[in-house]
Amino acid sequence: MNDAGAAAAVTVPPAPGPSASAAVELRGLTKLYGRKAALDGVDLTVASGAIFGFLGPNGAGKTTTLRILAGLARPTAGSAAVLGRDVLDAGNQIRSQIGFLPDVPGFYGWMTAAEFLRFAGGLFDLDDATLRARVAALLELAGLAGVEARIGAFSRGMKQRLGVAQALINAPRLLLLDEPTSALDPIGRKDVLDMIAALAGRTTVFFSTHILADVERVCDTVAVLDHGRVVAQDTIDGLKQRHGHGQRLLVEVDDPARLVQAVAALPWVALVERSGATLRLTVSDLPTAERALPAVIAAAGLGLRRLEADEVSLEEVFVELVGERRP
Amino acid sequence: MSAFSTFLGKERRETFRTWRLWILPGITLGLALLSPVLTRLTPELLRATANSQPGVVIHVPPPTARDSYVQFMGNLDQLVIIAVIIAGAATIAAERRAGTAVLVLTKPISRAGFVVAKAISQLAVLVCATVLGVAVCIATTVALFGAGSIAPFVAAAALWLAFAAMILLLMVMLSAAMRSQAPAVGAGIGLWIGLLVFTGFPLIRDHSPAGIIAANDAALTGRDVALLWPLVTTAIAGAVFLAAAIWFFRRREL
Repeated sequence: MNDAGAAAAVTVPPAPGPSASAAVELRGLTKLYGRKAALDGVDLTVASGAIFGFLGPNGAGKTTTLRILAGLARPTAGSAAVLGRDVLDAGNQIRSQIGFLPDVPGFYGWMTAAEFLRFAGGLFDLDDATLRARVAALLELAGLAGVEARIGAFSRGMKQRLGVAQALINAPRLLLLDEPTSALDPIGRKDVLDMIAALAGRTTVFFSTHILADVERVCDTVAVLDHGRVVAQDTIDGLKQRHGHGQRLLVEVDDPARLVQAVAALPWVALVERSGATLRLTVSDLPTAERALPAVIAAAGLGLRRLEADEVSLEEVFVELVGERRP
Repeated sequence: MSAFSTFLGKERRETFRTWRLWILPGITLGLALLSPVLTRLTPELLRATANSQPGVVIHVPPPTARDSYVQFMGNLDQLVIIAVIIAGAATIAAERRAGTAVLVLTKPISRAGFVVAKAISQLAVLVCATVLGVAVCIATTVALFGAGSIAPFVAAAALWLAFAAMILLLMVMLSAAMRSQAPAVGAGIGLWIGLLVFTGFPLIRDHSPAGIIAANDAALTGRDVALLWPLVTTAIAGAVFLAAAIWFFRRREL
């Protein structure tokens, strides 16, 4: 987890009504398209100031959730609240505090980037001085300063960066981003992720993605959505501990083959993988393994060269949570 | 500047910087220029056709300024109304299809404001196109035929404008209610043809917007017709279409 995660936001437990301290609160959120449930009773709370990663495979319901939060779609059942107000009642006062980037942002192709940002700022009724300063800063941030071409001639990456910039024009309290880095090259991705990380503590960022490395880099809390249901919500460390399918140890001894034989029958060893001189042990009880393994190695007459915990990746957690449930 | 006026400003700039400028104003001005010229050339064209066919003699009375205005009004009644239907069908559907409605409506502008701004901008284009078209048609007609009676033509054009504005608001409603532009165009043309059919039923014609279509022709020829009900029902229909457009769009998911 990155530095932003050090100040991990605490997940607020489910409450009966919209909570003032929660930036986003979903209760039993259900969305049906015909008979198909895009969202199936989603409960979710995102604390103010959190950088929240909303993970899920394609078709899990991430975009539907964001569309409901942005007021573009209505729930079939349940409720969704942003900044303490139900989205169905949220008027201009709430919208003025939200920034939104859809997965594929649509722009007026005849405008330039600067014109579009001025237009977006005008919709928020920003005064001229503020608007000028923000447009200049956001064009710089988006790497579009000095670009005079019309948006119609932009690449997808340029449009995505402009999309992020327009979502920030009102200095929002809540930033809703749907797959913000999906169309970006590595440098563009880094810039956007740095920008998101810089907002930690000031702006609540709710972003959906399937790029797990992005989540690990900037998010403090995450939720995993699958088939319209939240299957896990926690800090990234908490998720790894609870859903890591056991924990792993990396072990190096002078004769790895003998150690494989020595540990094979131990009850807390789930899996032994060998890569050269290194053994990776997947264990069901990490504290027991850390205490007992040196003794096992000594009893086998082996010399211990390395013993350390091997962190489970978020990808493995994701596959464990989602992979087995896929048809 | 409020969100509404910002959006209205965008609409104005969009009109001048995109194809929108060339649809209604372009077609109307083109027809305003061509109608008098075609009227002036029609006898020569017919004579040339007759000369190529031995034994055929065509007598055409000399065209007048009124013929020129009748020709232009006929074009307004058909070609320009179709252009109004096509342009109107794109009013909201195009913003939805392009994804621009999503970025705009997640900012502090209401859906009602969005629809009203789109309608005002389209109506402004229609009014300007009509006024310019009428002016150009009069100027061209005067140049080709000399000064004729302009007042009946202006009255007929004003009646046409009221009818076209109602059709435009109908299309704004269909654009908000339907998923895309094509079915809105189809429905709009169907309803327009329905109104044309109504002109054949005096009772319905005299108490509905269809009366304006008939009154149009009457104004040009100097006949008196009852206009109160057609004008009142046209105004009411326009207001109802705009309110319905807002109602549909508020319920539509983006």
